[in-house]
Amino acid sequence: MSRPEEASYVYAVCRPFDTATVNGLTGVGGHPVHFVVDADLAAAVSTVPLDEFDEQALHAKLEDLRWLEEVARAHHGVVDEVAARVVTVPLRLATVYRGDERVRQVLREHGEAFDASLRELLGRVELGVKVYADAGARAADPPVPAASVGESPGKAYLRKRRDQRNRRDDTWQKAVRLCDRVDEVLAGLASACARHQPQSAALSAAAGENVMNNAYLVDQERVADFFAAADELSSQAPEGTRVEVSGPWAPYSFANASATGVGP
Amino acid sequence: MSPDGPRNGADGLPAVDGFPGPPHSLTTMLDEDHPLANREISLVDLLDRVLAKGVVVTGDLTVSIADVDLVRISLRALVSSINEKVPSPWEHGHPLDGWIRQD
Repeated sequence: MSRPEEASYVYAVCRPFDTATVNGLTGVGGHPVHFVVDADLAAAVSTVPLDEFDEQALHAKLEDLRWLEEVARAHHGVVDEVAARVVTVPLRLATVYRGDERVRQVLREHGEAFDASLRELLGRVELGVKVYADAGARAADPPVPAASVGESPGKAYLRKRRDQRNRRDDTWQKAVRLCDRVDEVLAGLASACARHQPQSAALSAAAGENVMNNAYLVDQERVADFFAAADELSSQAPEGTRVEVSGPWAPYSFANASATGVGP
Repeated sequence: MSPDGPRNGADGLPAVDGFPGPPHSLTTMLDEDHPLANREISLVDLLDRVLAKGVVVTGDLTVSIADVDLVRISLRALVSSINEKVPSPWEHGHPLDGWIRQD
């Protein structure tokens, strides 16, 4: 009898908690989630067929957007459910071990780092803040002054381009000042900030260019204040710019904060 | 350190009393009428976090999703699938640049 080999997919490390509250929780591939506990640490785990997550399979599947989205949403779904109940360190997508015993061993090996992270993240959530600049939308707005008498089409074209460029430069400058202001205000309400690479316009499919992509680690008691401040900043954003907030997220961007012993 | 039970308010999370029901996700911290409540998370925000953030512990099946090449491949798939549907109107659009982290 050959049974397909199994592996343990780990979503997150957390403190042990009453897992009856997440009964029936499923993760990647619809596989049920269970918890591997070692002392003060627990790992949220699904038992998955090894051949779905071995190197070969992943090489092929990561190119399949539908698969990637499914796994990403399932991974996040578990992280989010657990993080809603107990302090949680999310792991990178597709962290897979050969069985629960290996997971327990990893909890033991990296125990101190996980413990330090969990202490730091206790009672805090991540909020994402992005600033967009949409110079194109704005450039179309102002009425174009009539061509001066005798202006050649070539000159008119160049003038139009120059005006557009000036408006764009102006929008960029406003966006830069907005970013500084947003970061100054919001960092004041956060216990940590991670400044990430802006998302490419093609990927985000949002209007305009993402010029700031930050994550803030915020005490739960301050989340409402943070949102209020972000709303205020958003309402004051100059024409052609805007502020977007996402979350609360499990602390994905801060999971490594203290986990210096954990890494590739 | 004792385990943080779900009723343990020490972690600052909403207490779970079984009724009217445990929180389903962190966004339930928000009022129902908050614009972010119940909003589906955009794929790019999601990938931004699950692919590029989170603790990297070396797994046994060493595929490393942290491997930039692999992520780049999947992002290429993502970009082309988006571009098929929505041609990028942005002059400054630079697929992949600026998304791939060097860390």
